Amino acid sequence: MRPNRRQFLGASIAAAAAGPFLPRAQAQDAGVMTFALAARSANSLEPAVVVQGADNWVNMQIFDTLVRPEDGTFAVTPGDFKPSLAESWTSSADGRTWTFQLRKGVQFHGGYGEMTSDDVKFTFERLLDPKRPVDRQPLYAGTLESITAEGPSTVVFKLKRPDPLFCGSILYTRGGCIVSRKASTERGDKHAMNPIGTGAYEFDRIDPANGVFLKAFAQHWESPPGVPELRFSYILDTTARTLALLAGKVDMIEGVRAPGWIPSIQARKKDLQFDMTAPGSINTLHMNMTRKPFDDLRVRQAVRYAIDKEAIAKSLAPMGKPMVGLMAPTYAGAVTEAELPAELRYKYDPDRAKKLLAEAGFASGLSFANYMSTREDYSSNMLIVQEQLRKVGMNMDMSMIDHTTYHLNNRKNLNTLVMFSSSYPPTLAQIFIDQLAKESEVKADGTGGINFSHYGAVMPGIDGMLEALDNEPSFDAIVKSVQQMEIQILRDLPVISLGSLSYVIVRNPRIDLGYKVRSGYAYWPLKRARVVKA
Amino acid sequence: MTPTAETLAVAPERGVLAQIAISIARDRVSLSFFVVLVAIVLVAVFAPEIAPYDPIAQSLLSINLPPSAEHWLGTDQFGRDVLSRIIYGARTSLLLGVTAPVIAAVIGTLFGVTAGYFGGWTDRIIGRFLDIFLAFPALLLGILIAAALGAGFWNMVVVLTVAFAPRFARIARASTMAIRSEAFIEAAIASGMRTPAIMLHHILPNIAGSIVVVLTLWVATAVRLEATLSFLGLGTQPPKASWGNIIRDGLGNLFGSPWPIVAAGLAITVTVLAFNMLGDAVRDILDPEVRDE
Amino acid sequence: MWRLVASRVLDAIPTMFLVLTLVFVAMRLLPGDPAVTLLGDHATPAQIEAMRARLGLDVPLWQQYLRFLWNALTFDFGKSFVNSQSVAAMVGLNLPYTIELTIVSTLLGTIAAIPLGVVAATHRGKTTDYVTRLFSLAGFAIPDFYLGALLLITFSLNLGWFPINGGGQGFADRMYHVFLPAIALAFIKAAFVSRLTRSSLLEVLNKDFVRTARAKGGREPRVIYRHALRNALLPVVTGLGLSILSTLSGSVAIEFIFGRPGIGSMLITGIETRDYPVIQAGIVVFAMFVVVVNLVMDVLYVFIDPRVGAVR
Repeated sequence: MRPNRRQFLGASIAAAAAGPFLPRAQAQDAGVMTFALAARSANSLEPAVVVQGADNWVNMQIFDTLVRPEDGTFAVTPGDFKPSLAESWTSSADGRTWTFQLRKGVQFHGGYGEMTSDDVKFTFERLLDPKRPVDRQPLYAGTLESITAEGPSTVVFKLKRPDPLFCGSILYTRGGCIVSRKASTERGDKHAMNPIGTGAYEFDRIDPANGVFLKAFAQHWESPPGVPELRFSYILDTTARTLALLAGKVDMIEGVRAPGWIPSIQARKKDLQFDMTAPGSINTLHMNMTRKPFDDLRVRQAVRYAIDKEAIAKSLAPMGKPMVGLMAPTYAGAVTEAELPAELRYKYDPDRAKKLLAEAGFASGLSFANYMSTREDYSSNMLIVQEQLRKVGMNMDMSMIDHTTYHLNNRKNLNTLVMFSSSYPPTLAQIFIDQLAKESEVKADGTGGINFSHYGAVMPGIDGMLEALDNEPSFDAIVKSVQQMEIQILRDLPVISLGSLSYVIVRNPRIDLGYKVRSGYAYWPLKRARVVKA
Repeated sequence: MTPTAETLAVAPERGVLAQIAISIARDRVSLSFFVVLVAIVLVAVFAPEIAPYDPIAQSLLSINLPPSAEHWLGTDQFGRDVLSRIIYGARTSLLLGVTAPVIAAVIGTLFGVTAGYFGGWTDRIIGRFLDIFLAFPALLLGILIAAALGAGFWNMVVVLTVAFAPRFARIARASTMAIRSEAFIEAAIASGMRTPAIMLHHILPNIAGSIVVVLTLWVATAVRLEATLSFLGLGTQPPKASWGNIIRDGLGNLFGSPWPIVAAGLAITVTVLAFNMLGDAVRDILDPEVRDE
Repeated sequence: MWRLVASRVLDAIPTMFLVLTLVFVAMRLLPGDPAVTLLGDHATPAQIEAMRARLGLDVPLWQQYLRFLWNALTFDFGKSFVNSQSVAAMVGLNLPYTIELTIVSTLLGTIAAIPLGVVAATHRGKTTDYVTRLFSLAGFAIPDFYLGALLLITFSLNLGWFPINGGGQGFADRMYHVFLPAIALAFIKAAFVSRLTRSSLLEVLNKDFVRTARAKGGREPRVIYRHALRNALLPVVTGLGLSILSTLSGSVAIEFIFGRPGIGSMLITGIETRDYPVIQAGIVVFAMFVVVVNLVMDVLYVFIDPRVGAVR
């Protein structure tokens, strides 16, 4: 089934013969760049509301934030942030007051005029309305105390607690995308499908059959983008999406995060380019300690010894990377294996796992029921885990359910081993607050958080250390504390990190992205991209 | 069904089975497919003995391998042996392909006979419900039910039963109505025989032929639907092997190796073909009038 | 004939009503809360409550049911929970692609099937009959999604003759896009219809009037096409109706493989995202499709065989 020269020849003859019937391949147009997203349709182009990953790709091009990291990276320390809509900023010594000087003359799309401090105030205040469907609202509400406009180009943020990484935790987020007060108010709900921002691309139209069309915004405060037109098409099915790229119908696609996928398409088309973030998403496996036998530390340790992280990472290569704790190795606060006491390194050791199970009274193995999502990254990770556990005598009786129901069941405390894929900027303690603090404990009625292990509730956790962080303005002190939390978690094992999984975009070599993608969120700007081969 | 009912229902078919056997033996094409069918059944039954590997054992260091001497059909994305998965897939397909239509036949016949025997409002109400279920293509019903219950073997049995039972009910109803007014039924009623007894001893044996015909035809459909639902991710649960699953998994590695897809597709095709041939032979003998697809 | 149509339409009303009720119940039985789906993993209870109110899910079930019935009655499908698009517009966008696929595959299937069936019947027991029979059996046996995948790999990916995915724009382009998916579905239709044609024609060929026509010295093709086939078409029409309805099932997997828009894929996504208005509309459209196809088949029946109308 490998394409050979004759087949390609055949294809070109056929193309010539079909002549007028063949639609012009969109991807060959020098003025247009086409990107196939893994979704059915654009759901919301209101950046703060978005929960569908694919929509972020579109919003990223339409909106700007006050500050931003260097393209292709995450800003790991406060000093890594670059000016964007804000030209400069200062923070008070206690880390609770942040003052930003806005860039002058930045225009909104569609003639909505100049961006001012009032738009910034509007942008952030709307995040605090408890009834609005803002994603990660607790984060904003828990941090922001007030936003004040002092003159047209100065904005002052007062925070409820010190946050040395304020630029990363709040400003460079989806909610931090600056919207126009006038356009948002005027358009109301319709803004979500007809957005106005200040970004390098402006929204042109949505064609339900063909996707979202953006065009270069000539008045953008930076130089206008290299490709005049940017199209997003929506192809949810992984095979169809891959085929569209291989056939040259689209220039870029969201990759498939399943074992062996990258080598297999590389075999098909050698010159494909892969843009990948590290770490990408962090895959954690929470062990529900309210369910027997996972209340027993020895059983949790057995699970930990039974899981071969290296093998998981290898099967997902080059996207998968093993991790030690919950902080990605590139993030401040991560611990390395060498820093750990020997008993917390948990080298893959199935015999040890069996021994621990025997000590816990399960010499002949054990069985438990578990839910699993059908989404490819979840299912491939968990199928591997299931098999590795089977080898030490733990039989995971898995029910595959759709992703929506899976999350719902997790949120209602119905699951035993909960795999959770999350993506965090290098903000320090957020993953611990979300997934391991007592106040985030999952509740049977679904009103709880995503601490699926009940760490801190059924056993003492890291809540004391988290509390101390609330009033800690020193970045270095927080880093120290995060490392201590990592070690505490490795000792108690409420959760295991299965590894990180990069987000990957596969790109036709005719497009040059303009920079190298190293880390960052699961979406990045395309304004520096150019068509290098027509 | 009680043991009595079973013996009663089957007993009159003995001669018919012999007829079927003779007719199959006579026709070379039918015979060859019958042999194939027997082979598939044997493969399914003796899967653990035949399969070279454990179908769910992973080998993460040798994923997506092309066919070789060790792995005749290569390995999949988890390094599992595709041939072994196809061999075990036969089990899944046949188990579901037989279980679901049989349950559907029992339930469908119950409703059909009731409707046909009593007529009037009973018939009208049952008929209306049949219409609704018949209005839904089986696959759509499957998708809705799988969404509500989740995937899995028994849920798939529910899906296929709900989809098939109305088809059986329709046949049973029509056949029952046809014999309801016959003299021997009237005589049985007049003799004071109780209704369930009449249904069991007089109606069931007489309509069993048509039901068996439809049953053989629906086995093939069940095998196909299992594959389709599994392909859509709503059928057999991974890591269990099913032909539909193998195709679904294979699509991800289409560019590396198309063998799993080709092999699993062939397996489905041959199995369905063999069941259809059997169904055909059965139909030709038992009931040339039934044409329900 | 109009009386027949009217009575069939009246017949369909209670069916539709029950279908709607069933859909409503089924949807509320689906696990998952649309509000949670929309808000993501980090939603607060206050947000969920507000979202439920916005979606009209905060009123008692019976009120939701009445509203649902009324909206269905007035063809007001509302807005998608997920992307706030008008569901009527989504149906308007997707339905043509499904209809197109249905029509083209039925045409292709029938065009291939009827001559095949005729040849098989007139050459009964000969090699042609066997080959046709094998073809039709194979058609039944090959899963449409498997055939679709093979066609896609061969003709789109390796040979580049056909587009990889999408629905196309403009008539010529749309026909170009629909061709391979339609072939994948047409195969089973051809199998089914050719077999029906064969058996039904065989039956008719033994009837007196055909023998009479032959005895009168009518040439064989004329006898077959003028006299026999017309009469043999009756069961074929019913069969065609059934097979059109089965296209709806087949279209789900085919739309999936070929990345085509359509009601099937709209419905599946709707179910995945708990988008009630979309599921409702999708199923209502499917049910209407079934009712309309059955109606058309009934009318065609009368048209081909007027005796049927007289009996009613």
